[in-house]
Amino acid sequence: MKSTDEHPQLHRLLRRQLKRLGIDDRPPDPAMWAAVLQHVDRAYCDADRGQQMLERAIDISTREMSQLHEELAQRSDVELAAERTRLQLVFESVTAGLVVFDRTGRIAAVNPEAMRLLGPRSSLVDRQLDACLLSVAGDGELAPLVGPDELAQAVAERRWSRQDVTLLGAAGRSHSPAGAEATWDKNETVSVDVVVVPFAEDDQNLGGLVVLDDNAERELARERLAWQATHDSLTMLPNRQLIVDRIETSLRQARVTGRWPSLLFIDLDRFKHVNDSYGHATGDTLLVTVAARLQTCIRAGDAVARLSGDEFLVLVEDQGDGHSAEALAERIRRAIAEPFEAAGDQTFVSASIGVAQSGSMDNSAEPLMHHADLAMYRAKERGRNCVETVDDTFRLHAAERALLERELRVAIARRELGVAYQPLHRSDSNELVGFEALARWVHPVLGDVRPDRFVPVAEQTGLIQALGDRMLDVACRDVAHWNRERRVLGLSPIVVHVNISGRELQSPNLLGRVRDAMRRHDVVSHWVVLEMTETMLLDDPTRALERLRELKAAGIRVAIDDFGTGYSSLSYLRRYPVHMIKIDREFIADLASSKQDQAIVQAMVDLGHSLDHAVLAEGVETGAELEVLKRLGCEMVQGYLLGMPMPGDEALALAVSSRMQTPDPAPSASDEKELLLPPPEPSTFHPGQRSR
Amino acid sequence: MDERADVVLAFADAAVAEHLDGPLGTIAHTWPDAHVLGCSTAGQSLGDVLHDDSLVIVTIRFASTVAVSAHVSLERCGGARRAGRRLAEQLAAPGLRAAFVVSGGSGTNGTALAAGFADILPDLPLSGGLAGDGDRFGTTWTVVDGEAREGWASAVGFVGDDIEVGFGSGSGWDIFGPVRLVTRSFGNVLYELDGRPVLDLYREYLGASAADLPASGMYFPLEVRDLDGRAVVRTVLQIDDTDGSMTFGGDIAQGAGAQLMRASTDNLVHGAHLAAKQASLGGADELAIAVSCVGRRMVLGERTDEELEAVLEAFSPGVPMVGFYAYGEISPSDGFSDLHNQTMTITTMRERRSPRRTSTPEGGPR
Repeated sequence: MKSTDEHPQLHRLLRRQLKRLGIDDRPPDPAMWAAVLQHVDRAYCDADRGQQMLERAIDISTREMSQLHEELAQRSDVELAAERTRLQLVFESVTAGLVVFDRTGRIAAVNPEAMRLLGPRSSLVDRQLDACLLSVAGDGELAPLVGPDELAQAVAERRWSRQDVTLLGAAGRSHSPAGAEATWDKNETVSVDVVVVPFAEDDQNLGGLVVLDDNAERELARERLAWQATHDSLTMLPNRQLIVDRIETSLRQARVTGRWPSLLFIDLDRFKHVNDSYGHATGDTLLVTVAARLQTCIRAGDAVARLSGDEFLVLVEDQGDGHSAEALAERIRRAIAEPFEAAGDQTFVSASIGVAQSGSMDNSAEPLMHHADLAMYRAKERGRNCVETVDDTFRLHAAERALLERELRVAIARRELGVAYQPLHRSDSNELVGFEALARWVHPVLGDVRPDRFVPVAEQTGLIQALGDRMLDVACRDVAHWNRERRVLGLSPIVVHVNISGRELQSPNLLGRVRDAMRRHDVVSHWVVLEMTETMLLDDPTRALERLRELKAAGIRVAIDDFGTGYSSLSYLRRYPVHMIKIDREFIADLASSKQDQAIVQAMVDLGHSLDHAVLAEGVETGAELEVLKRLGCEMVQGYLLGMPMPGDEALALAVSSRMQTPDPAPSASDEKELLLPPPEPSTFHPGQRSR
Repeated sequence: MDERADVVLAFADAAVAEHLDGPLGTIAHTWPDAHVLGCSTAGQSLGDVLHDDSLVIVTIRFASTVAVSAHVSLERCGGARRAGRRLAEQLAAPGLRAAFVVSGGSGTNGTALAAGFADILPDLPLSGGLAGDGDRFGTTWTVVDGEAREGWASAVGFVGDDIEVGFGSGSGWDIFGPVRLVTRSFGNVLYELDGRPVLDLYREYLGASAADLPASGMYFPLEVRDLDGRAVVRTVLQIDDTDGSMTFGGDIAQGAGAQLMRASTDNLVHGAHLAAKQASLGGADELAIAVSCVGRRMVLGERTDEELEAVLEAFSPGVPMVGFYAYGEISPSDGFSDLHNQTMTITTMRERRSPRRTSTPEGGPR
């Protein structure tokens, strides 16, 4: 039998098909014949389909390629045109004069600034560089600015420049017939800096560019800059820098003439409200109007400046005409209080004005401005829309504050601030549960400085954070020591309360700082309670709530200090996660005799308890007060009756001796128990003079 | 058949799952101790002969090599990548040398499956393929516990010092037409090329054959050059008329460049031959597993056997070869295992002491 393999002349596909069907070179039976046809038919179809598919693919992709090609070509045309437009725009808007010349020195193009300096386009383009750019020598002789030598030098060094060249200007040639050199007006000149930049490629000279920088323009720009540096761009008034110069000049003159100037520090009241309600544009308009009104109020010789935002300063010279600064201030106050047009509405602003009179002790502007500023703040405190004058007492007070600030800085740096501890007791058993840490400053010269004197200074000067850190650190150190000792004796834990200032409460890293201090001294979180006043918490209730939650989450408890002196909103009080309220001493002082105070304290105790807060009364000084508090259900007390503030070692001795008499039944488990106190919070320091 | 087998490879027409005789169950019954790895195909081969409507099995018996296997449900694992990880975690053993994987489920992301596997076993060579369903693109399955299951992936691993494995893959496709930008894609779903729905483009190129999509999409695979400049071939698995998208056998990154591909029979056959030469370990004592792409079969048509012949020619006479046409091939290349499309991929193996094997075609030639 001859196999199909022996027919190499057949297409290999046909060979394989025959082989698969088991057909040799004899004609197959009819049934097999149908199979053969089917396979051969498929092969033809495969081939056709492949061919059609290929041709179609070639057609379509060729068309796609052509389209792409066209798009690319169009795109490059458009891009070139755009590029040309951009370059032209740059050429025309450059503030320097540009003169483009070709390899023969013929001017090919000039920009508007070059035309302003040298003359119209028609007198420049297509003419030779050395005929158009003529320098004027000292003797009035004209000479080409850029001749062959200069060009050669420019090519060699890639640049040629001259400063302060006097050129024959546009005006000098405009009335002269072209080429008629004799009629040129050599007095019409411009002063310029010149740079020549050659275009060269492979050392081939392709012409170049002359850049002309007008010195007069530059001088003007310099003056404009100087003016801008000393004036407020919105109101056109002098700014702080300029008015300080003016004040110092005036003070120097006063030393000679004895006529001492005054300063008015003016701050608009509720300007922010105008900005917020009407928008910044209206706010700006209002500032401009205020500036105008100020200028109409002052006399010639006085000066007005805008310091920043809504702050203005008026320098009032003593012109010997009997006009007082206070009277001027009052006039200004009334002028500002006149209605304004704001977005079609009439609106009103007022101003708080501080007046400071200079004297022989004033050597420079800053302290005087500071005094006027302080007086302005007093005006604000008095209820705004009024004038306050700095008097001698005020100045003395300011001087004392300055002294305190200086000394406080030193004391904090040298760690001279100490801590005194005032005991906290249970009212029923008299058991001592902890101490409040109070800042104590014994100054080598000033003696014992009370916290109510130095803490406000610290708060206003930013020293409060350092002070707070110091308090926290010492309190943590001491409470760690006490608890180590008491544990040996098997006594229940001792807690320390640390005051936190408003600023510290606002700072986002309060928790971090408290934790750092606790970690440093190995202090358990519930040994520390942070005290913050009601007023502080209400200042920014949302943020305060956020901080309190962070502290609670960290296991640090918080007590509300001076409770009853602020205007606690019950809704906030309910939401604040605090552990204790401390009733302010104000309500305790007359407690024994005043039925009213008793009713108020009763209400506060009940309120605290209903919110699951512990309640402590501050400033307990008599046995009668203590008895009333017990009766009212106030479980904790603090005050001179129970213990004065004392140094740390005495505090430990007191804690040990008082508890040895009332030993804790289960000392090991007691760490959880004494927590009548609110969960501790990281604290800022706020001064603790409350321990009477 | 009572001969012991360590591994049984079974490749079958999808309809075999419904066969009244339950051939898959018979396999499990016959070789109860063997690791069975099988799947539905777009045609299976034994030697250089292509079979349809049939089941092809190969049994492998090792002298010292130990086989391990794992089966995971793609859905229960939470996707192909996690399924790949689970498979690798289950196979991982000291001395594991190579693994062969099959996975079912239409639209399965083979790139993700291979990547998941490499997450756990980055250096292990992985080969195999995605199960097929002829040119119907319907239900595909793998063999799990003696039955056909949709949406599962199975792998067998080879452990021991005596096993040697070789790999090769070849294409034969050529790019043509403009380079297009992938302007919208997500995973292995391609929406737009140059801002135009990809389905429109394919319909235009396919003309009348567009009616046979997604199958006819195989005529024009995509070469995708990813953002790293690496080129991979992707074939169409599914289309979606509602949004003009097409699902491919592997990821297509947005921002990548894509170019249509076409092939001639001769180039495909030559590519297959090169793959086999690359994979061959030499000598007659190796087993070759050929996983080719359904797209090649569609283009080759009546001439499909030619590529099988070309592959077999690269081996010594007598080397047994089994294989199937897949919806995506997995093979190591450039140092890591990945999904390929439109390729012929060859896996070869032998033991230093040669394994015994028997091969049994069932069902007749087409």
